[in-house]
Amino acid sequence: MATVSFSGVGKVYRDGTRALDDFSLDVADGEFMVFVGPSGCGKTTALRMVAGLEDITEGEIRIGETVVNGLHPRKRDIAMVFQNYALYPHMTVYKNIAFALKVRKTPPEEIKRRVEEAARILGLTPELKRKPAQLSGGQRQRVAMGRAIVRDPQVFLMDEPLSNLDAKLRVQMRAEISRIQHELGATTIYVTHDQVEAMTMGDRVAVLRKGELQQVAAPQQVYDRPANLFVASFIGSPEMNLVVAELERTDGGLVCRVAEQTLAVPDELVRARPALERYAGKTIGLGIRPEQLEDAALAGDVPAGSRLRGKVVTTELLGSELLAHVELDAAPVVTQEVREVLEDVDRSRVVELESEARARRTVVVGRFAIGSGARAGADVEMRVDTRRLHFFDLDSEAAIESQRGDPAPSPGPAARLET
Amino acid sequence: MSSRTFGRVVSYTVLILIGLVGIAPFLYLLILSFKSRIDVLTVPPTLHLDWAQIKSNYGNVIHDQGYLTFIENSVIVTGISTLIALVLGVPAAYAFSRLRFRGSDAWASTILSFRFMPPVAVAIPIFLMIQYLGLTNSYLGLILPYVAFSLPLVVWIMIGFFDEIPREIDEAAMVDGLTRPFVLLRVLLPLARPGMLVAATFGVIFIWNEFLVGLYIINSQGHETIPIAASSLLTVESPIDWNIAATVGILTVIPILMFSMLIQRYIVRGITAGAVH
Repeated sequence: MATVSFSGVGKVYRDGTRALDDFSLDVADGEFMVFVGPSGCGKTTALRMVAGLEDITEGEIRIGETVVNGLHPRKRDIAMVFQNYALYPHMTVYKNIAFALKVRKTPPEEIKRRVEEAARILGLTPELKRKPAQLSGGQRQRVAMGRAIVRDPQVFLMDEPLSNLDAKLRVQMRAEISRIQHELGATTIYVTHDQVEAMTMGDRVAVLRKGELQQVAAPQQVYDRPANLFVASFIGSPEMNLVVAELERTDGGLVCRVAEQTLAVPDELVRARPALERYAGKTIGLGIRPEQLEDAALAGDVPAGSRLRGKVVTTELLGSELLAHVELDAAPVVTQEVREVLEDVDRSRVVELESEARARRTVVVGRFAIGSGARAGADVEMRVDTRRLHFFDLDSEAAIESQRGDPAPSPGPAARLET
Repeated sequence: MSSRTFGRVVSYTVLILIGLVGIAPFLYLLILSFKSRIDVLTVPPTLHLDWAQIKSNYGNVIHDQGYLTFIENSVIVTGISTLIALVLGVPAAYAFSRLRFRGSDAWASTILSFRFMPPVAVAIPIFLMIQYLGLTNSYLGLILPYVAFSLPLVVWIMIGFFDEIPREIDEAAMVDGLTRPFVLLRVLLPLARPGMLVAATFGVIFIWNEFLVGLYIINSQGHETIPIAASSLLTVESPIDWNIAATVGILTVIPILMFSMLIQRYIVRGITAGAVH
């Protein structure tokens, strides 16, 4: 096993399109690293550059201590699982799995032992004599995995390996891949556009957008402290609610005005994000995760500074919880990054969001407990878990964070005023 | 009668007519080859099968006129030319399908246009070149131009087949430890076999039938292919033996017919495979 490190890696295609820009990242030995982002963000390009299937335009990629820039794929000691599996259709499952070993002139007894071992781990033993065309999608996926693990390579590369499976199988294989990865302790780079896969499988998640790395952190960290509006709206389902709000300083500390309503910003939050102070009197983007919204009627004693009132538009009863879509009379955050995430999901959502912005109203989603009396058409009062509010600079789109004290990585007009 | 049944009746009638038009000359040829010189000229034509006559016609052509040699010549020239065209054309097509190099797209589309040039347009220069090389009246003198004629078609057909094989299979094989040439040899060739059979069939049929260029290059008995030999049947000096000419025609068709039938299922699959792309 080995580390993989990208330093200043860039990729420009022959037609001039830039797929990756100044990408630097270290994948630790044995780590499960997930590259996630919408289509066209460069994640697959980055992976293929590690595999040697794509030339490296700028920078350097190392596997272990070796710079692999000019190295042929076969000399990199990597194994790859492709999105469409890329099994050899004319070979049996056994031969598919054995192929790489055979190419490397492994002794036949050794090949047999390793193929059978891999088949056992993947539950493929009964299928060894069949051809790919006779297998189900899930089985083909396993064969593709088998072809990778039998090699015992330095690094596993997986390019959206689950995207061709149906939802149920995907959940099962998700767990299985995680299990196998941990069993083998293999350094793995896993590419997906599915943020649920990213959250559940990765030791760390790297979020990419338009060829640029947005944030690398443990899944929980990415979820709890997204670096910018892009990461905030990309990670999480249902996605984070984002409304335009004003930060104000009052006697009791910072408050956040959402149209006519007021949320108190807890002191510990301000202490953790000292930069917030500088935004007093300014318009910011306020992020609230759906689980931070609860039906106030179920929440018992709710202090005045943590309530939001709105009109229920629709409700979705999920059995374990109730998703309430509640309309607030504040404008939604519409920035380039938010737009991009929505476009990746569904273009019509962007149109919807823009019309909401014109009407200065936002539909937020709350995860209410079962037993909530929220019904479409009625007003509802929500308790907001203010300890976990998110704040974003609307110009730079970066989270207002910073232990370092600087308001944003790329200061926008608002930030420049302060400095 | 519903409109659907009516449509079927019409389409079957048309298809049967087309079939008849296609097969009738061949049947007529077959019947002629069974007749004697005199019977051929009988009006109205009669159909009488006489085993002795058939034996005499075919015996005459095969033994007395030496058609076994001509068939052998045709098989050798066609076989070797097609083989060389495949050996050169398949890797070329693989490169066109997979690699990006200067002018790759332009060449891939131009290459077929070489095929549109009728042999008559180039017959003289080819003859002069072959003569200059001293290859007239030799197998090689035929094989060289025939490879040149069939190569563009082989390349073009094979590009279509390679394009249909997902690139990820190449990539998987490279990650598995193969270099490009071995990816082609060990992984893609087995997958492209139907395509090669299609390309071979088109090449074989073309070369088997080729007459004009061959006529220039070969003028001795020893190396004539069937079409060239057959042309000498109908000359001013000899009386026109229609029955013998018909027998030669049948003998010319039989090997190619057998070859086609053998790989017919691949041809159908191959043509649709190319069409989709």
